[in-house]
Amino acid sequence: MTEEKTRELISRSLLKTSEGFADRLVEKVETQKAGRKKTNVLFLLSCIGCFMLLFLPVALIKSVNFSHIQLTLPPITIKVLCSLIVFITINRLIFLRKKILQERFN
Amino acid sequence: MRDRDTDAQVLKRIGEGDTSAFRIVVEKYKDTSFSLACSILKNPEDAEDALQEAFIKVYRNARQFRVDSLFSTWLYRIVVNTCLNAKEKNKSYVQEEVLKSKESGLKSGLDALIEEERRVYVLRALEIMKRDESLLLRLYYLCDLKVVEIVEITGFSESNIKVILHRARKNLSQLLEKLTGNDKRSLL
Repeated sequence: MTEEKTRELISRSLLKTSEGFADRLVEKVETQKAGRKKTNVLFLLSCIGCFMLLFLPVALIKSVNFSHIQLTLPPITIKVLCSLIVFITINRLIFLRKKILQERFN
Repeated sequence: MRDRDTDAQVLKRIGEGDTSAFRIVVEKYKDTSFSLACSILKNPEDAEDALQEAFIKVYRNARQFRVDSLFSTWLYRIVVNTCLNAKEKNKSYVQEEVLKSKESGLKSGLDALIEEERRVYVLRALEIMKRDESLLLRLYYLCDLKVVEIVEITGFSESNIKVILHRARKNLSQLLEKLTGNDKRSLL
């Protein structure tokens, strides 16, 4: 068989992907991109929370002054708030990871 | 050269996270890449899954692409490696499914029928052929790559590629003769 004949025959073997392949792929990439952004933000928040929880002195902030009112905080407030932030962000991170793994195996 | 520049620009945009640029690349290369994937995996569904994975790798690693090399070579290498990995994972696959064929363009009844028949014979022959043979035939004739570029993609030596190509041409001819039987003159 000649070169040209082979080329001509093989050019017939171009297969087409199923309809909407590109749409599905781009959608998947966009979802992953959004997921990664969310994960980064959550990770950063939990890091800040951990940092404050570990290194911030307990009685650093005793009161917060607004224009008309003065809010007096018990010394442990900041620590409790940080614990809450860390707890919530870590929970969200675990949930996101589960979702990503589910998508990967579907 | 212009094509190379365009690809490099699009890749730069993909590296910056532009999904519309990514869509351009997918639309441009999806069919040739799919044909290559089918050569290795011999199954359209598996090939599409592997192709999706390969394109996602391209999206994630777009920044690592070196402008001095050809984008198509880089992409096909990722496609081939991803498909080979998928094949490794799924060795129990039974090679029975006939590849679906779709004809684009408008052709009149008989012409279209003959064209379609020819296409089915060629696809069937490529499906029966050894993986490396059909892959190299498609890389060389369908993707229009040079032997040096195929070396980069497959990792085979230049002389090995030439030998496999020679054998593949011979096998293709023999297989088409077997498959078409008496119709060979009218169809091929």
